[in-house]
Amino acid sequence: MKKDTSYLVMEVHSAYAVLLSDDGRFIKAANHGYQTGDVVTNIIPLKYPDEKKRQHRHIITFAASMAACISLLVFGVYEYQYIFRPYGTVQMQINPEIELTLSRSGRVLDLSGRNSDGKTLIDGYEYKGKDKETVTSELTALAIQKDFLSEGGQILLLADSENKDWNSQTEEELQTYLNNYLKDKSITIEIVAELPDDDAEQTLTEPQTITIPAPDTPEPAEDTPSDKPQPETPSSQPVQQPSSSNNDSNYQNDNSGNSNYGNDNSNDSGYEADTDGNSSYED
Amino acid sequence: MNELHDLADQVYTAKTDPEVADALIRQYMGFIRAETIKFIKRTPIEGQDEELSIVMLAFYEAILNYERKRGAFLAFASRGIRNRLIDYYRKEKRHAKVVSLHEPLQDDEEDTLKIDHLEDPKNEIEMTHQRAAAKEEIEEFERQLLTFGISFSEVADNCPRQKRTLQACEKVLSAAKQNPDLLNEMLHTKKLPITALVQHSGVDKKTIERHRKYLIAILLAFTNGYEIIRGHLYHLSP
Repeated sequence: MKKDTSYLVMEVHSAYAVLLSDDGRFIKAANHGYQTGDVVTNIIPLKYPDEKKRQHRHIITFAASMAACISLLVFGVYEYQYIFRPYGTVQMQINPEIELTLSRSGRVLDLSGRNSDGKTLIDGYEYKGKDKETVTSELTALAIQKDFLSEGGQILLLADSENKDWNSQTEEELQTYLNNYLKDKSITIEIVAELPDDDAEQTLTEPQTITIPAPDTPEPAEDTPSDKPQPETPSSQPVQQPSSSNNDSNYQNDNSGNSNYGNDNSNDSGYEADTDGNSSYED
Repeated sequence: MNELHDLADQVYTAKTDPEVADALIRQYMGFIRAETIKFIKRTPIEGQDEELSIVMLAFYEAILNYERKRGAFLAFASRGIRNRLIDYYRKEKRHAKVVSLHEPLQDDEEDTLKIDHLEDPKNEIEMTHQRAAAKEEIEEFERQLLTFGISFSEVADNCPRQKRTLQACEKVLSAAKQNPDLLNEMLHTKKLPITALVQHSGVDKKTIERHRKYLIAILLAFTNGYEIIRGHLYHLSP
């Protein structure tokens, strides 16, 4: 109802008047003392019962559509994650090693060869849109066709994800499916599902403590002056413990500030430091 | 108890019969005034207090909406009136700064209103003549419409409320105006030539049938003799 709409009063009743708007609508509205033939502008139109029902219906429809949108959004996100997000992997070892990246629903999202034979096996193979059962069975057939797998061979399946239940379930499903598949083909191939060793995993996840025994420290010599610096022993060199109270050892400090560390066997070891502070080995 | 049943029966009759509705409203004017007094805290003046006309309209709406399962009619009507007046006051709040022309003039000892001191740019005599002419034409139009067995109230109840439907009805009117034979046929047979109108306008037959009474009224307005009504419908497509 436009503000500038004018209404011609067509009929007057005690509670309402029938008005004709300039755009051709016949309307019942409150009778503010109108007379037939008057032209009026501001009116209070009658609300029909079905209009109220329609308003309620609009509210219900709006609420229902909003609820549908929200549930669709939530369900859509969940479905997307369920179908299209990588959830875990399955390694298939024949001799060719293949890794299948799966969504939670079991759809194959990626396929890669882990060794050269694996790459050769999956070369040209189209996996998109296929589920894990189809891909593993087709790859098995392909391996047989390309002579990677023969009667009496073995296929190792190893599922890996954060969900251990999913791992075991996936392995079990694939094992059952491949066994049935190979039974139909009348080929005897052993399907092995290897589960990770839980105990070992648990041991490794715990913090490890390694105790390294400290080496026996030599007791300081009685006549060794405490203010003298202790000679540094190169770690690579075998440490020779003094056998006596330094009778055999000779420690010299020359005027130039260079230290000479030697013993009676200094010539034998061939280590000598000259007065300029340069060290050299002599054979 | 019998009175309550009588009232409910009267209300059910008044739903479809405007004359019974008018009679019922006149009968319960005391109730209507009492409900108005609850809000305006004084005796309402007919023709001046908008609240009274709104309460009367709300009472009529209560007649149309009433069902027996909703309890006693007067309690139901009272709730409807209350809601209508609350709606009205909410709308009025938006125009709170607007001065009423019916307010008494300040510093004036005489009992006069502001509206009495306004100069009316329109010629009152001319206005009265125009109103009388319009009234005469409308009465003639009503008589003509009654020959089709249709009243203005029924036309108003049958009028399309959705813009899309109204546009469809405008297309039917255009088709009829371009083919005056269809209008003449309607006047002679006192029936709406639905098949021909469907062919010429392209509007769905069901739409035409559903708004038959409204279409008869609006087509009748575009036959000869209703210049004032046609002049008023200037927003309709030519």
